[in-house]
Amino acid sequence: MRRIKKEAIEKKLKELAKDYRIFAPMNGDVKETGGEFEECFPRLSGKCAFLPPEEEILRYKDGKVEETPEDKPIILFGIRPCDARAISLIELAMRDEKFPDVYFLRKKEKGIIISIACKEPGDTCFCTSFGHGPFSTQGSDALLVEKDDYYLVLGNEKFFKLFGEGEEAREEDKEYFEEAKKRAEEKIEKIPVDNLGEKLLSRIEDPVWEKISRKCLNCGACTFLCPTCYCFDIQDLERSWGVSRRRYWDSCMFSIYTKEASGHNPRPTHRERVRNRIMHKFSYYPYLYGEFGCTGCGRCVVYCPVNFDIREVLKILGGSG
Amino acid sequence: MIERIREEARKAFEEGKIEILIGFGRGTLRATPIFIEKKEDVDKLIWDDTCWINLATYLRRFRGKKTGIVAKGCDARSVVALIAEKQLKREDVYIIGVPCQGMKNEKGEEFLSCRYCEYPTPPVYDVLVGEKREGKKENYPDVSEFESMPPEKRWEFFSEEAKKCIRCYACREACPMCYCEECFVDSLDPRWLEPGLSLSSLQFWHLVRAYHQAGRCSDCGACERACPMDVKILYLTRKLNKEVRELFGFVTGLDPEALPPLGTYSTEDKEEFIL
Repeated sequence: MRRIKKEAIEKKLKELAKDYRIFAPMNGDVKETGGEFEECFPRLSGKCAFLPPEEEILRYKDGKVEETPEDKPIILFGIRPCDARAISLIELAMRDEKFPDVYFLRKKEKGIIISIACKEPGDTCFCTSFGHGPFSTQGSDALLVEKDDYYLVLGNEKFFKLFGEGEEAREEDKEYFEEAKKRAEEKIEKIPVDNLGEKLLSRIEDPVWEKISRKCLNCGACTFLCPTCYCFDIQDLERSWGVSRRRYWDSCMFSIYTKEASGHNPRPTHRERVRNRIMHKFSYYPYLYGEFGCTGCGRCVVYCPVNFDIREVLKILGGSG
Repeated sequence: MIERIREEARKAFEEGKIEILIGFGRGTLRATPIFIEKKEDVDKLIWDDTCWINLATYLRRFRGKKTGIVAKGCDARSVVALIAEKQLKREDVYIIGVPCQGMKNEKGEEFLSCRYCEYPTPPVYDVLVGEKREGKKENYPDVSEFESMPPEKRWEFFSEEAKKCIRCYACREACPMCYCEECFVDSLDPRWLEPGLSLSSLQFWHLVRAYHQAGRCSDCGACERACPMDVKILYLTRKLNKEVRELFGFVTGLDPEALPPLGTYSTEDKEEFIL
């Protein structure tokens, strides 16, 4: 563990804005900044840096295809560990050998993710349910813990090369780290998730889905704010100079998401759509990639207009509620 | 109040007036919509100042069933508007009307739509629970404030609000009147609107949704409260409601027999807004 002055990191971040695109929480959401950041749990998550709501992937111009050139590498700074972990979970799908996603991966490979430990978790956090927590380092090149005018840093070479090594952490720093970690973890509700994937699969035709899903309005708020939801749509848009092929966030909550050209929709109602969202995160994802597709950040709980609470749903379906 | 609501709900089940009841139950953060299918469950109903979802948005899912709804003034007006637009049959809906005390956000502040609410008491109901409440007669002071801004300031305000949108359509889905089988934004042929978050696309979405609400919106404010990005919407929908009232003397959701202005034509219609 190292300790680095806060102002040294803040200054360095602003300098790096010349050669990097800096994304950080600002005015409540993760957005591109000039190296400034705000200490908060942002509403729009860290995925905005690597999977933006909209991006051009190629152009068709004067009879030729032009791939969108690579932009400057990305530094994602100041997110919570749950968001850093979320990006590593998205990466599992993006790395799928059948369909590697070059647009995501080229950003991710050159990118740097720096999270700030979550000393004051919210009432809707349940990250410890998945074996990680408010001080988790998975997905982060560095985890910073605020202490007075220092950050205590658990980082890799990539981080220290850019931001400097500071000094060796003191014994009292390590104690502070352990205590803060313990205090934060104790505040978080743990949802039982043992064998959840199999349990869900065995209940796929259970009438309980109809009950659970009834109040869902099928808007996309939960999926767009979710740090691990990565579904997108690709469309070719006409421009005066040719065609722009772009991709956009899409949501399995929308009825049009699965609507086929014939007009048939294999997920015709809220029941099938809600079931898919839950099954994908807690059954298909562990089956395909060995991890749950959820970090327990609680955004879908907080921002759902009808208070659809995924924690309650997991308790019911997992047999503990 | 809640005992009266439960009592009326129980009676409606016993008398065979309803097969299902849409009401509010206790959620984990605030009141949450619940769907009750037997009288034993009516004790799950609650009533407080977080019951801000407009429950009329669920009614079309239960068409053909005798459906009860616990309705505030605005919810009931949406039910009436849906009946007027032939989306529901009056005899299929059983309205347990609740004179509304006004709804509040998590900080305990009353919502804008409630602050200026003219009809806290449902104008149409099958049974009314509690004493009638008088509405306010303030004639859209919030809209007047918006109107008093110079055009470029209004455009700037509108653009800044539209820019916050991520097109999750929580506003649309929370709205009882947004029931189109295919929303214009989802149509691929013809494609009225590009996907994505360009300013012009966002402006287009917000303008066209607001226009489609003219004289149909009950001022419930559920759209604005549903929005996770805090986009202001009511200044547009309320402005259009004000216009419809001034031009056509029409107020949404007071009379299921009255034809809504967008659904009718009269040679007496005022035309001064046509250039």
